Amino acid sequence: MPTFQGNTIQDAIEKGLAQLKLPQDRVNVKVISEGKKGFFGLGKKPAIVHLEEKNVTVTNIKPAASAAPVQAQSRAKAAKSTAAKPAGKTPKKKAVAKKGPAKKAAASKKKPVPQKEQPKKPTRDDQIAISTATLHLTDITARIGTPTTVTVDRVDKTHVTYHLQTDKEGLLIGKHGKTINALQYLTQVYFNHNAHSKILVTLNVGRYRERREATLTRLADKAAREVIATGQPVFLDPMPSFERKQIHAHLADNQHVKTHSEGVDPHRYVIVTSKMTGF
Amino acid sequence: MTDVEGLIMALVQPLVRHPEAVKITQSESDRFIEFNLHVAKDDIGRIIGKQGHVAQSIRTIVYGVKTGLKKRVRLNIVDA
Repeated sequence: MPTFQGNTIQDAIEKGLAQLKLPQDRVNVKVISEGKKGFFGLGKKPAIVHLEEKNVTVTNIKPAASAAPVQAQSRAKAAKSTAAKPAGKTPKKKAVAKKGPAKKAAASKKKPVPQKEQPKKPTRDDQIAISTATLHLTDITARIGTPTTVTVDRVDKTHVTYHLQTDKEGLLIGKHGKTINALQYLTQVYFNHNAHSKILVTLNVGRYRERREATLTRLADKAAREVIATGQPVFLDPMPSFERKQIHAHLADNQHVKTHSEGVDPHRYVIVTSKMTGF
Repeated sequence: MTDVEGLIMALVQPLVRHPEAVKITQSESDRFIEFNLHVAKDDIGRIIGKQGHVAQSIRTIVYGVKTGLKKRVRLNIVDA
């Protein structure tokens, strides 16, 4: 159970590998302490890793600590992304596996429809709607100029998330998510028309929604602090309903402030007020 | 660069009941390149949407693309 220290995680791993005389893919790395750079030498902490020789090489360890995470945020991100990966992969496989038969099903189901003399009643099937929406999304994003790989994640019975992977995230997201929100709305409308049950659709580009949620939480906290300090209500910028919802939900636990929304979509905005002054 | 007409088609056709009736004509005014969208009569409501939200979303996406054209793009939904 050898542990090693270094200025950064990478540094510590390298030291350990040198001592053990093993290549990196032969060891399991367990990070015990990530280390801190400190400020002018204050609060500096060494990075500590625990290296263990592998008996069977099942997975090749990627240099997860290549960019020695100094900030807690990037560390959390890295942890999240690695945690999310296996979770994300299974639906991907499913989606790929589904696509084939679902497509066929869509084709075979479409054919008999005109024969039934009810051409106006579309087939309302959730699975078909989900998979054809995937195809439409791939098509549309390619035409926008941001070719994407779309993976479906059926969160639960009433919620579907499409993960869009692209090189040009910014172009697809637009300013404050303008483009992706528009596309999400259209997808929602498509589902309202074509799915059998009520399904809520979310489009996520890369980790945009997570990033945005973090921004909104920060914004909400900042507004709450200002309200408590000054007693004056704070008006936030206009945002779409699901983002306002996140703000309301986040500040619902706060005992000192209340939130409500005013204005008409798309310029509806959240107002944070103090509970003390009583409005 | 981007095929605007194809994009509009790709956006609109999934939302209508009569995809075969969707037609786009193109015209040019002094400041805009105008795409006139024709859909079947009972599909117009679907394309405009409640409070025009669907139309607005389609426009947001269409106006957002790089066209490589000298003029701006405008999308008209032709009623009747």
